[in-house]
Amino acid sequence: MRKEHWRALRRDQALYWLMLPGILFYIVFKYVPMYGVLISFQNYSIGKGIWGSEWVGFKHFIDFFTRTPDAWQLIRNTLLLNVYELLFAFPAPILLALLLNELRVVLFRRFIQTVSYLPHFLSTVVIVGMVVNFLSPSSGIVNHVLVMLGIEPIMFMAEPGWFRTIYVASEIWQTLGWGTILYLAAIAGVDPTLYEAARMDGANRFQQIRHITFVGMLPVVIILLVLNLGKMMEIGYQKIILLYNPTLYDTADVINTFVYRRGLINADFSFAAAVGLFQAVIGFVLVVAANKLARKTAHGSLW
Amino acid sequence: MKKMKAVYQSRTLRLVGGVTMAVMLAACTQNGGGTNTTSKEAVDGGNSTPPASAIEYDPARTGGLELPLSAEPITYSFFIAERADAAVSSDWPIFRAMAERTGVDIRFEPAPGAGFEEKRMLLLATQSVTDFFGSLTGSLARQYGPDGVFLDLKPYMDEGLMPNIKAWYEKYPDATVVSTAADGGIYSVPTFSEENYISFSWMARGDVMDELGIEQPGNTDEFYDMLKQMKAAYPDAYPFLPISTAPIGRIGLYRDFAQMFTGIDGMLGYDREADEYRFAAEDARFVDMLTYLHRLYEEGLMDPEFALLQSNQFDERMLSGKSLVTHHFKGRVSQFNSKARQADASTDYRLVPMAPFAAEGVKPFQFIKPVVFDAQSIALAADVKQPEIAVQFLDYLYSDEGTDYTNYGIAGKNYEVNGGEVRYLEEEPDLLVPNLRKEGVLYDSIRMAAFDKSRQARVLSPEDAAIDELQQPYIVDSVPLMVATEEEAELEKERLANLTKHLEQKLTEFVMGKTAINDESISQFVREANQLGAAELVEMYNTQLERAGE
Amino acid sequence: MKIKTSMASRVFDAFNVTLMLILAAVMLYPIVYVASASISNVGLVVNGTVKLWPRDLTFIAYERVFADPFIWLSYGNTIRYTVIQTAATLLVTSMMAYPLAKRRLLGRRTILLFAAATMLFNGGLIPTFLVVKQLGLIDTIWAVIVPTLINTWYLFIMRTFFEQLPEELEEAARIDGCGVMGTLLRIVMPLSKPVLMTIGLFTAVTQWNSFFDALIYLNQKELYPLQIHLRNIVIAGTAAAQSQGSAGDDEIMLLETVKYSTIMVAALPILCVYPFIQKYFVQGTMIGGIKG
Repeated sequence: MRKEHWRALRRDQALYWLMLPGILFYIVFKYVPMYGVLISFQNYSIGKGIWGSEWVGFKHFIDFFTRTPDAWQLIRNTLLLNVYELLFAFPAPILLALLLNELRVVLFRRFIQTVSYLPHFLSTVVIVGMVVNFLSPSSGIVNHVLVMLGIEPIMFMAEPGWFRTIYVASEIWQTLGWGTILYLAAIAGVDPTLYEAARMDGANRFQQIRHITFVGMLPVVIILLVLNLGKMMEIGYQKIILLYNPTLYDTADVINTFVYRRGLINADFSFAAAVGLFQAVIGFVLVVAANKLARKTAHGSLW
Repeated sequence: MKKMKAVYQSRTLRLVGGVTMAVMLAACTQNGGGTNTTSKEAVDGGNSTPPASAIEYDPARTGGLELPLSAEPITYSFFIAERADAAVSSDWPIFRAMAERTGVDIRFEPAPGAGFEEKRMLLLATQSVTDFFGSLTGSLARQYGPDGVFLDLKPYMDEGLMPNIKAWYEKYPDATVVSTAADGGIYSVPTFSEENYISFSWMARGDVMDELGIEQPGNTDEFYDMLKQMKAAYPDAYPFLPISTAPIGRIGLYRDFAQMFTGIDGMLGYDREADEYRFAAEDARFVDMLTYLHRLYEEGLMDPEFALLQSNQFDERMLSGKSLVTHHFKGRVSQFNSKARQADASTDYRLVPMAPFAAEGVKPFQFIKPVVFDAQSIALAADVKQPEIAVQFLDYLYSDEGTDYTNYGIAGKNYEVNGGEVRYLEEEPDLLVPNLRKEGVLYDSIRMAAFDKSRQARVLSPEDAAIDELQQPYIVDSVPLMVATEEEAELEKERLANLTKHLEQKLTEFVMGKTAINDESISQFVREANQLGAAELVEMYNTQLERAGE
Repeated sequence: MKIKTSMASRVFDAFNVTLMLILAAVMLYPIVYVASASISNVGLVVNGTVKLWPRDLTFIAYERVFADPFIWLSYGNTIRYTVIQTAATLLVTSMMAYPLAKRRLLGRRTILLFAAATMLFNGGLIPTFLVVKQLGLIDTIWAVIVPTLINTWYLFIMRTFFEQLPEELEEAARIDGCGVMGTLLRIVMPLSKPVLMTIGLFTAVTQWNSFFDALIYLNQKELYPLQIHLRNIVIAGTAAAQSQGSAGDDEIMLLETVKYSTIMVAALPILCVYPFIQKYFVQGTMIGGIKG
């Protein structure tokens, strides 16, 4: 066996040299700092540093589940928000890319595409401000429309049940156009002769979309899906902090907002690190499982 | 194939060429920047610091410090939070003037207000602090000082190198309490603000009150009547709009009304009558507070979205007349009035301040901002070069001469002295403070000691002056200063944020009617709060209070 | 030969176009509002009179932004950082993605696994900062570029695209005497324009908008990029800013409309990059090479 390996290494040595800068980068900037993970098991104190701080084993992990009010609610909220995102925010750019690709007039398509990613460039603060404004029961446009349709105005921002929808909708608003760029690049890579062949075989437009365009995008879709699954246990706190208010804590409070309040700023590094590690482990398990599944369907996988 | 090869070759060349140019551009600009810095230092070193004998100074005004502090020009780095409305500049006139007089040049390394706390935390955690470290809190200094991050100032104070700061400490002993760490060292120096400074004020639309013949409310019942009258005249408006629903802190709906009904400083705070910390929910009058707020909500006297609003919506409602009454930073009175005038020069819009009020039987009061303000402290790096000079410069900022610079600016440019009285030269009262700040005057963490009020003639806008006058009879000393031990700080860190969030949520549910207000629900509320640590925290605060009293 | 369009197809087209127009309106709204607010009277913006179109034109918000002496310097910094980082990232990432696209490469799966793991597990801010500090990069332009040189998502995406390139091309290149680097630069990359443009664009935008790295790794004001300057202004007065105890009682007194002009100034240049590279997203770019 060994001899084959050596031969392979020698044959491909140029390729290995090519990867060298990248691998160095990973080692220096990603793996060397990994020792930081150790502080999850300590009571890290700046003065003593990592090697001097006392070890407390799994204390922080246990604390998270036992001394946190409603740890399970936080986990549930985090998971549910991610599931909603996966169900709605993930497919949206795919759909839009497919639809955009079907627009015949090139100039119109480029115009729509450019316009669609504009919200991505506005800071979250501005977008959230607008969202809250639109949903206001007294002055918001959404409620105006509801009233015109004869429905009572709804105080959206005060109903925990609406929060997930609002969050995901604002995510879509902000990221939809930007997300299509990658998918359009994938579509651009599809061999045009395939379309010719399909047409001659009698396939109609919709069949072409399904079997050629979409299939061409599939490898990219799959790796993005797998990567997203790795993030199921976390969701960034910045936007939620801007969006939430005391009436929404039941559904809006997630793991990261709790950690943020608990003391990301107050130097409670160990606790924050422990929670982060917990999220990472869960995510890793999910990624590995998803990747195995992806390999079976053979359209593309992470590794 | 050959043609393609040629094409690809030229494209590769272009790519490589582009990258090379970019790199060279970066390198060039880098060098350019570097040269500029060194040439600046050379200029300063060469020209701006005259020999020692040429500087005239009045020892009474420098507190005995001898100028210049350093014969050779020396530069210190200074970390500070940058205000969004006034950019930090190492070229500020007051600092150039101070450099001329002391020989100490300051190079600012500002961090923007957004993300500033993270940067500060990182610098502390990695022991990469600058020579002068500003915008620091006393508790952080007490925590990190003994760890070797900051310089212990006590020996220098004892040696007599910091006479001005020593004098301030003697005048306000709280400063010693707040800056002494567990190991006895003093690692930071706080800001000493003006005496009797009031931060907040109730405010209402004076034009509407005049129109409806309403007088200033003296208690909560009269406040309720006032709101009712306003609502009757303006049915589309929701007269009262609080700026936040914080239950604890310096301002917030629940905090304010807890004070008004129980006399306690917030849901969990200091009770002046009882001289101890208490949890307001356990007070007999808590149910009155809830009922009152619920009534305001139900009858449309308080904006139904009070818990949801973002700050831009708040501003919008106050300015468009959707809301008429609020409790806010006192500066808002003149700010809102001027914004309204900008929108429509002929408007009648006129916010006026209201005196504090409370429920029947409870005495209304207004806390003053404590003079010793340790949320803006300065510390020196433990390894600062030439510490004797550094501590003296720090002390200089607290001397009369230094205070003149940081409070007034440059004589003849920003202010003039007329027969012992100081007068600012800025014409527009609205622009005075903002413009001064742009030059580093009255800047957080630079102005470390407030001017003596008897000397100053600060141009207060007529509104600000009216507010101060109105609040005078209600001023009480701020809550006694307390210091937490490491364990207590841990407990607070663990419990307080979640408790606050819980209180906010549950109180909002009471007010909005989602939870009925009765004995049972209140008992449950108290039980849940105690489970989250309310009782523990109260006990802890009382222990700290006792210790502070010794 | 003209292709007959079916009824279903035409209905679909009509529906598609309508949908796109609605989408465009929804997506355009925020930026139109921001642009209008940036040139309107501040009183009218704050009291809600300005809803879509500007009222009572004034350019004072822009005057304030450009009055800041550092604005041009920080603009220049941002451009420098963005250009350099984009070029460096594209080069190094593709150098790593290309070998990883070859299924026969020994150790391929292990390397991919190690890269994927870094997306989830990371040592944290402090250890990373210490590494950068020990390399002497703090307060230099490289601190902003090197620690984020390779983004693992992009690595995987690039690899996926490279995998789809036909082997014959590289055979041809080898026959012509091209080394591996040469193949990468002269054959693979030109054919991968869509993905390179995409990743390049993403990298450029991320770097253009990046704030946190510059915040923690740079100390001198002269090196600050645009975002550091401007973020302060944009969040001033919001809850995010009020949570900072340091500002004390002196509220930030800012002309609200400056927030909007700041956003416009920061976003406009990078907004315009994409339309220019749209032409590279044309079908068949990857295949063109074979015919030669």
